[in-house]
Amino acid sequence: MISEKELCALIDRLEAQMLRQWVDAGLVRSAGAAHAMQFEDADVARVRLICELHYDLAVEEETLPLILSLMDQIYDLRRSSRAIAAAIADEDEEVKRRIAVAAARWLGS
Amino acid sequence: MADPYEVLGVPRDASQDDIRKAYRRLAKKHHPDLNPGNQEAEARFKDISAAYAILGDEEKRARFDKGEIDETGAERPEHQYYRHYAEQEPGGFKYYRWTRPGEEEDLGDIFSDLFGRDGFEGRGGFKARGGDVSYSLTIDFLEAVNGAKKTVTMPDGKRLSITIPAGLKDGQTLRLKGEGRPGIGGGESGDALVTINVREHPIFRRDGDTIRSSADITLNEALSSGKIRVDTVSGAVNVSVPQNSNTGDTLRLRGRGAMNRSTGKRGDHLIELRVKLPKGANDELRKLIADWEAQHPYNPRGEKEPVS
Repeated sequence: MISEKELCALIDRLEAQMLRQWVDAGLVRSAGAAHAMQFEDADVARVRLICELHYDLAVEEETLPLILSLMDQIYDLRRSSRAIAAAIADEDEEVKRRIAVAAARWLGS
Repeated sequence: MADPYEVLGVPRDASQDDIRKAYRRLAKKHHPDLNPGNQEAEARFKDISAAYAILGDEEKRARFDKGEIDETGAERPEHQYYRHYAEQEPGGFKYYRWTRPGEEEDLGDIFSDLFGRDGFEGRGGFKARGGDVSYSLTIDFLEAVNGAKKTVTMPDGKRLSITIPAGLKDGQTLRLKGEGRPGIGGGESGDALVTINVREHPIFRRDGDTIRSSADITLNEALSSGKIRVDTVSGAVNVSVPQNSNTGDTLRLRGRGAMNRSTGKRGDHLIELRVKLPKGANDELRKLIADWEAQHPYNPRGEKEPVS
């Protein structure tokens, strides 16, 4: 966990005001009270991503929530499909084969 | 590492602005967080970022151009991309099913999203309805009007018998319940959706439930009342032509049209009469008519003075 100050020092173009705006908008979730925010590694990576989207890729402030929401949904789906794949991997060969056939039929291939 | 100018696809004399634009365009395409699961995107993005780290900075670009630093000269320190956390497993992730403040937290089971409202049914695994399949079928005009039974072969080799209800219109779709893709885990099969295209007919035209056709009549049939034989969608019938019929007059045959599928009643058949002169009308007929008209002048275009 690192503080707001440390985070701003880590990502040189990040300004405290910007960070607070993103936290208020719910784009980043900090732990701790508003005057003593704490960030995990995942938050640092997310802030870095938001900076890249905003400053490098010229994604506008109003568009950020939309893009992050879509990305979150994709990661959510990928996690779910991996969970299912992991569950199937533990099954017998016969079950795996049946699922593969059913899935292929479902997809129409 | 390749030459940074090549990586960004810009000429060596490109302006700083062009370099920034090229970087943005490539970065949007290859950013690893926008390409989850694509390992190539990460490698490509690293090259793009490294190239931009040199060329994007005028001072570094000048040093690179002079050969003072090589193409890896200013690579940024490594850091973990967001996707490393977003996809870490197992266990939860804080932005998983992430909602903004004020929005209702959706703690629903992702599996119900994936497999429908019922989700898992019992211990036997999940059930899912099979997909619908679409076909199109072209039928004859009279098959659509009178109804028919057709057999079609589906792409998977299955033969399907389709009942065409009387009165079907061009472009309508028939839903055949349970004839689509089979369900999974005992789920019900999908439906087959068959769109019907109706061929045109050489004689009949259709206008809703009304069937239209035309009948050619002789001068004599037009002048004297009499019967002519005409085709309808349900066979030939004798029709009375009233005295003094003209081209354009229509005869209505009630209940001889197409079935109206909502009322269950048949529409009408309208026959448009067309008076035909005999082929190669001879002098005798010409003289006869000319003499008659001299005695009985008439103006079919009304009594008004012609417009000059």
